[in-house]
Amino acid sequence: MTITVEQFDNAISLELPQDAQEWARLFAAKQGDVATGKQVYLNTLAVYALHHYLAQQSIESDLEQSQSWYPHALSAPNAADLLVPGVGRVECRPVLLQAATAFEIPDTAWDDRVAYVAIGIEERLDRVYLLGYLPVRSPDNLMQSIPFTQLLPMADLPDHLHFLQEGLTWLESDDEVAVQVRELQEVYSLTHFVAQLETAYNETEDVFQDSRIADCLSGAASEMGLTAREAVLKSPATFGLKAEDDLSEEDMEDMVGILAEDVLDKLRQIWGNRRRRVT
Amino acid sequence: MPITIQNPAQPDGIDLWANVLNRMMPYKHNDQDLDQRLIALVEAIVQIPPDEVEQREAAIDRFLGMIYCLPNLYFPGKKETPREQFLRRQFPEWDREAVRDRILTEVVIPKAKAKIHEFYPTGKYLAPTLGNWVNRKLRLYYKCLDAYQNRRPDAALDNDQDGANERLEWEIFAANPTLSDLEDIIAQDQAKQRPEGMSAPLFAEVAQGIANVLGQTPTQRFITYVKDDPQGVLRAKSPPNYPACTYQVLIQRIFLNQDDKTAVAKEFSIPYQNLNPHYNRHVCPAFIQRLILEEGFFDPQDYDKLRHYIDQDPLGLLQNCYKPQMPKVNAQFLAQQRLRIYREADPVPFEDIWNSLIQQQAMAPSRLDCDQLEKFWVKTAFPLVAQEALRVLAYDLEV
Repeated sequence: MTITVEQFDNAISLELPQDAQEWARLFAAKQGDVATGKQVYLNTLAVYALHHYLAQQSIESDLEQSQSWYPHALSAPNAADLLVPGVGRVECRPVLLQAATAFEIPDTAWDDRVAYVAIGIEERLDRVYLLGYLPVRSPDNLMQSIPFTQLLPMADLPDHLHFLQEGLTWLESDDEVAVQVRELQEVYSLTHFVAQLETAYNETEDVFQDSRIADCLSGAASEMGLTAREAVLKSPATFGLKAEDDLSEEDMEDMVGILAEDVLDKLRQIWGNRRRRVT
Repeated sequence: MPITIQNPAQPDGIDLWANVLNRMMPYKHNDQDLDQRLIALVEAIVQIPPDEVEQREAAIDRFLGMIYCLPNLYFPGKKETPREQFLRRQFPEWDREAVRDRILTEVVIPKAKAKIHEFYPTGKYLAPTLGNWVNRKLRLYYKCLDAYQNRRPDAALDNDQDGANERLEWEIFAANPTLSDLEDIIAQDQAKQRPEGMSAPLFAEVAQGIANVLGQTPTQRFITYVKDDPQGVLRAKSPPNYPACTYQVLIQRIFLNQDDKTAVAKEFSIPYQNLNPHYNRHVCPAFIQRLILEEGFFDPQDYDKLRHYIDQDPLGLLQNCYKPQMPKVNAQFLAQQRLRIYREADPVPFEDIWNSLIQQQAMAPSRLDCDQLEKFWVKTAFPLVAQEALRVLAYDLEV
């Protein structure tokens, strides 16, 4: 069943400045065929819409450092990211109202993003609707098509970005726990990993939070094809070990579990008891 | 305050310049020299009878010559919009000032002469209002941008009427943009980019062919090197647990053939979320290491381009990649020390870099030791430099 904007109680209507059309036209003209040109045009409108909305909320975003601002066949013709400095890349996917049945996120957009925003587009292109956003999901819970009912209210996005900024500041610091986390996970960007932690923290009951965070840590290791043991032994000194220490896989998993508890303590200090509002 | 028209009316009974002067009179007593000068020049025109054609033309030319002096007249680079920055970055070699001067002299000034009766000053001061009129209404600004974008100043100069029609269509669309009209507008824009008479499918095929050829710009020698991998370095490496998917295969497929990463991931049964970061964090750096450290795979101008990009760091990405609280220890600085393209001899040893940073008081020895500095370069800074280098080279190929 297709959707209409009336189905979104929390959608935000936004008038686009003329600049948005000019950029979109410029990028679309450079594509090799009309279908790609149209996709690039709509992506550009979606990215510009979020840029415009964030500016209204006094949140800085940087078009020029976003991959979507360089759409060409050799790199990323379907890129629709917007860089929010100090937070990470937010994916802005255009959704054709009256035609779409689900929120579609291409494979290429899952990696290295901190959130996914659905931008509704109707027949008139000078006005768009910010339908809602989706936080990062754990790698074992990725789907290309997501029901629109799972979108969170757009008005909560600024707070969400603020949480991520706080988390990233900690993870980039010289804090001992942060250093251990950085050593253990190298496969994701730090911004994306903070977003994974945020999801684990915010969408889980208190008693299960540490195991979800442990899953994030060992999941990052296994994405690199490493066991927890191999991941820890990459830089034993960081974990207070010596190269010759002969610890079993179970011991290492315990170490990851202890690290997860330390991470949780830090996150509680940073994020407190805040929880996402669920629609 | 009405003015006295001292010269006889033109054959149609109206002296257009007198009307222009009439509209300018409210500005006669303001404190701007330039405004006074403009008004005096128009007064001089009006005082010459229309039948003294030569004298009057000379007076008109003197007035029009003042347009070049308007302080807010569009001038490339004076205060760039993001769109101008984008175009400048795309076409750095384009002499934008010369193009602007030609457009001003050959198109816009003659148009100002023909349409001066449409000039209705409304601002606080006369000169900036006239400048805005020339920039916007006479389209100096847009003509320049179109010319930069198409890299065809002649299109703006010789084919102004057609250009006006195209712009009119765009303006109608832009005023009321709709999804239904979008494909037509894009098709028209794309058609302007391809050679006359070539169909869209044929153009797409040719463009792909050109892209493929350009994708091999790193010279046949380099392609042969990747295929032969004489030292076996690229064949020996692969993402953990996927031995068939060697770096050699990934470079051939993703960089040289431009195959879609998702397709490669499916073919080798690697989760895309695993392949993509691995490619960015490990394959690109290893690849660029070869490109940069092995001699002769790129032309000297490619190395110049890369050096220029790193030195300028136009997006600020490299300078923003730094150790917390040590902004001088950043990817740009380290690239300049470590990459062979900057040095004929070997890269500066990390110990020397570390000592130099201490001497510059860029960091305290207790905050970052030499091993940590090397680790920062290998794990964080160099992967970023490598990705940027690939992006810059690939993007230039398309342009």
